[in-house]
Amino acid sequence: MGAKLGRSFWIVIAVLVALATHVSYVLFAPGFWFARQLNTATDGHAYNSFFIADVAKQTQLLSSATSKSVVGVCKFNLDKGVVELNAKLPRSFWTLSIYSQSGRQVYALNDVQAGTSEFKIELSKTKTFFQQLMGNGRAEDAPQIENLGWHAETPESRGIAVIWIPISDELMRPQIEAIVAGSNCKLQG
Amino acid sequence: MGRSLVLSATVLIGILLGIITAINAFGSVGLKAVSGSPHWSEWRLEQSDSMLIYALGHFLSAGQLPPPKSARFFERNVDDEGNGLRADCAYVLQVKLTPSRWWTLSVANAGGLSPHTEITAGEAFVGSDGILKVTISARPSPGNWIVPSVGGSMNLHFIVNEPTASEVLMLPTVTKNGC
Repeated sequence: MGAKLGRSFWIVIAVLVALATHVSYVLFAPGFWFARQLNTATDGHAYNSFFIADVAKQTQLLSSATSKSVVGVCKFNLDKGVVELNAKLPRSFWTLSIYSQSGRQVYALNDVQAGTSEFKIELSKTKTFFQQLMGNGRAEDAPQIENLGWHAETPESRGIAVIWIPISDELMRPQIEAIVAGSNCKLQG
Repeated sequence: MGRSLVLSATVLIGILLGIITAINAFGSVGLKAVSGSPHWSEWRLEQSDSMLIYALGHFLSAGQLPPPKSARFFERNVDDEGNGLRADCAYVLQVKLTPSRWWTLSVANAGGLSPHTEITAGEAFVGSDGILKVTISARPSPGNWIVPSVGGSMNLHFIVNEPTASEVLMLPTVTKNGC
């Protein structure tokens, strides 16, 4: 009886440890692995700068991208303030997705929703509950944020904005890349 | 001494179990069956889905960003008879396309995410009746043709960007055409 109870106790402990590990792994490991991959894929590019990903890297980074697309990337860091993404895009189908460093999509836009091929998006960090309590909310920020375009908030300081443009003809690539290369990503001065 | 050994072993077993079940869950829990297309599954990426964390984990743990919110990501690894897809066999895919802004049909290695070869809306020939027919084969084939660049087992991915919401999304049938 005592041995049985002892065995059950250890089984319960093992199950509890397994549950805790499972939940922790599911919550934190993907973000950790992705952050590492993001650093590798964007290695050599400074934060708050815009670049066009090379074909091999774009398919490694973006699950929906193929070699037949142009991918523009803004790797941002909001620690020093608001970052603005000035996008210049072709008049064709495109999507803009903004992800936090842990891979959560926080903002999405496409050509139809935007209604224009040139626009500005401001990126800032989500206010903490304490900052909101202290009255440091959006209303107080209004004079500081130049709302000429759109505004996206992310819960993490670092992340990535990805512009994806599928291309139907490889001959169009240089032309599309030239247009997208006119985009920039910088700290708001 | 004996008790601390048992405790260490118990904790170690628990940790291993937790990690193994989590990794397995990333490969399956975030997938849902597609009604009307029995062999296709879709990754659940709606913000309201309770399994979203597993679907996100599937992409992120492979070092990839999940598809944009406006895209639907379908996957299958068997033909219409339920046999695993193999790179040394030929398959014919057929579907009456649902209107969408863009779609991509790609072949990846089993369990992998990065497409190795693909055909997209921009380059495929679609019949005047809206039917898309694609051959996946290592040997040349007339019409739309995808060459599997990997050997062994393979997965099919069908990504549809902004399908027309009012219509039921049709997914390709996959018929084996010899090995």
